[in-house]
Amino acid sequence: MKEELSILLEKYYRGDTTLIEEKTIRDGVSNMKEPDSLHDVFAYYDSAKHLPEDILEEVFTGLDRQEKKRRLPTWSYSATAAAASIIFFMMAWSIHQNKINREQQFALMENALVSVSEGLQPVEEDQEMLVLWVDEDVEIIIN
Amino acid sequence: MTAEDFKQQMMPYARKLYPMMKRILCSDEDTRDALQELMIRLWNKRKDLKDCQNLDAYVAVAARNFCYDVRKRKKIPSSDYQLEITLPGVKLESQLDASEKLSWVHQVISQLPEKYREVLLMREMDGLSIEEIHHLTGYEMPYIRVLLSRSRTRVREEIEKIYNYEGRTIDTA
Repeated sequence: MKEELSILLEKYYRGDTTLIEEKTIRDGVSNMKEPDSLHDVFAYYDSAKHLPEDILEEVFTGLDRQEKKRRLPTWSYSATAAAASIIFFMMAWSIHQNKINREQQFALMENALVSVSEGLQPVEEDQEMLVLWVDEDVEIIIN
Repeated sequence: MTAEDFKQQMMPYARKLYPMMKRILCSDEDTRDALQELMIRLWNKRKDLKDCQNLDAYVAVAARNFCYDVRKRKKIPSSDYQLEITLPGVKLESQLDASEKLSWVHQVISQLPEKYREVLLMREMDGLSIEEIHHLTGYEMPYIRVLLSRSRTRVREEIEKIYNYEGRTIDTA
């Protein structure tokens, strides 16, 4: 085991080890009983790997939030467009209806005024007429 | 692809890329925001992701470029390499001793030339493959192996120098 570690360490210092071999070296060094400088060097590298637990959750929660936020505009644009169309048609319909109503009211008012006007006119009495002479050229009438 | 499928697919990437993003942006809050924004961008491009031949490299490059954009946009100064050392599962009384040792390691790594440090941390902290590092940095793969070899050797030598010095100081005291 010690011999294997020593061979691997030679390779390590030549820069020729793979990541798996380096893991074996680290395990071997951490199990060594006598203190070694390499033990502290590896402890130093490991200390920097410490990642606060909450970070990953927070990062991916942020991603979910962003995704929801990103989805919202697509949905809201369609909804806004639909609402705008409805409002537009309602307004056009309302204007059209008002116009028709105004014409109807005007006609109603006109009829009412005509009726009133006719009601106020004195009744024409039938006048008696005496027709004295009628031919093709002359007509003689006496009221 | 549903949001849940996407989440399951991207969760390992988010976990893997977080340390690299934090190294670029230097703060938890900015990194959190950047990671969230990156995931939203990838979600919006989910149709392209299906056809992507090397998703690992694609996501890693997208994350790195996005972080540099954020850094530029927010005018975050490109300060020296900083790292908040946390030791989960270590007892409080051991924390001080352990933290001190990790500070020495940090000091050694922060003094490496930038490209040595960049490649070393991508491999050791982020667990990126040589191919992914090639896509991220543009360096040829054999050169990446050379940089890894030199940076690992240098870190070991410098740490041992400090330990030997500290050991002698304690012995003589």
